[in-house]
Amino acid sequence: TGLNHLTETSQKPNLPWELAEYEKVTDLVKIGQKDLEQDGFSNTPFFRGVIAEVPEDQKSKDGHVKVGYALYFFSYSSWKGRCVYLEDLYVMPEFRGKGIGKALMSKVAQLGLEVGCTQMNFIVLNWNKSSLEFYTRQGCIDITEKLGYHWMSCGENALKKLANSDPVDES
Amino acid sequence: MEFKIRAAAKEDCEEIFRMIMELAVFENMPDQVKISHRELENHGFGPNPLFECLVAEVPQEEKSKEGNGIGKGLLSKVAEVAKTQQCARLQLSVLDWNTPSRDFYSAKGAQDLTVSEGWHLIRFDGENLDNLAKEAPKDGR
Repeated sequence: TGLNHLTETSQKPNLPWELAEYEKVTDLVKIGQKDLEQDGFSNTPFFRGVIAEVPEDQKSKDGHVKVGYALYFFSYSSWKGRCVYLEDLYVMPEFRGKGIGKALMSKVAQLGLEVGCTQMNFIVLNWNKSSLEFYTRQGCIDITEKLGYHWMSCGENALKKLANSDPVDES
Repeated sequence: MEFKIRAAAKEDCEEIFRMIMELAVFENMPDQVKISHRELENHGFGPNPLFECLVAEVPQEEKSKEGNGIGKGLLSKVAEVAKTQQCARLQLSVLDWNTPSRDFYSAKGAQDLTVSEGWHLIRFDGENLDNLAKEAPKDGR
């Protein structure tokens, strides 16, 4: 259906911004293109990316051939060993329903398996019914529903406070 | 109680694994632990470490007693490491019934994003992960 190829990329388009618009949280996007370039493509990358491209003759209304992406990184489970964390999965609205999202996800799963990962984890908003259904169809489990795990986050201020409190360092 | 927090060394892996099992028992999922201390040694202390780890130690004379402030000390040290690496967030998951832990993290400033924003943690593993991977397109790299 016009999907050209999935490539690991050396250039990042503006897709993370569009994903933030979809999730209705654009004011929470604190990094820019430069941060992505630095954090993803230096000697110690903090993430990896997969891009979905379409041929020139199928480009989007505003002229894009890069129409979807998956941003992921490797993490670790003290129970299972290596795992993949899928941070972002996005396909431009006009290219949905063609299997691109599935292809991106499968590619990340494949890349993970290649290096010995036994799990792929990600988070989804509970109101995002269409995404939840998509993921369930692929066979995944809702760990929050099934096992009762809650996703916790310490933001910048909490992190600063924690880092500065009670120095017990003896390294 | 006097305690020390330091970076873990390869020699600590057996003890770390003992405690991983203790935590898994507490979470009622000991059968879910599929690795051994050997994986920890290889994955954490080889040429390309997959994780970092801190250990807390008490002096010989204090062994096997309850401690105060040790969990907080460990968490603070992780946060300190995070700051030196310019991290913007520290994330973790906690079981809904684990009220003491949920209170501990809340008190330290963690937000429960499942409650406040409706995020759910989703997982692929085993056969489902294999099946998903098999469907990856062959062209490109």
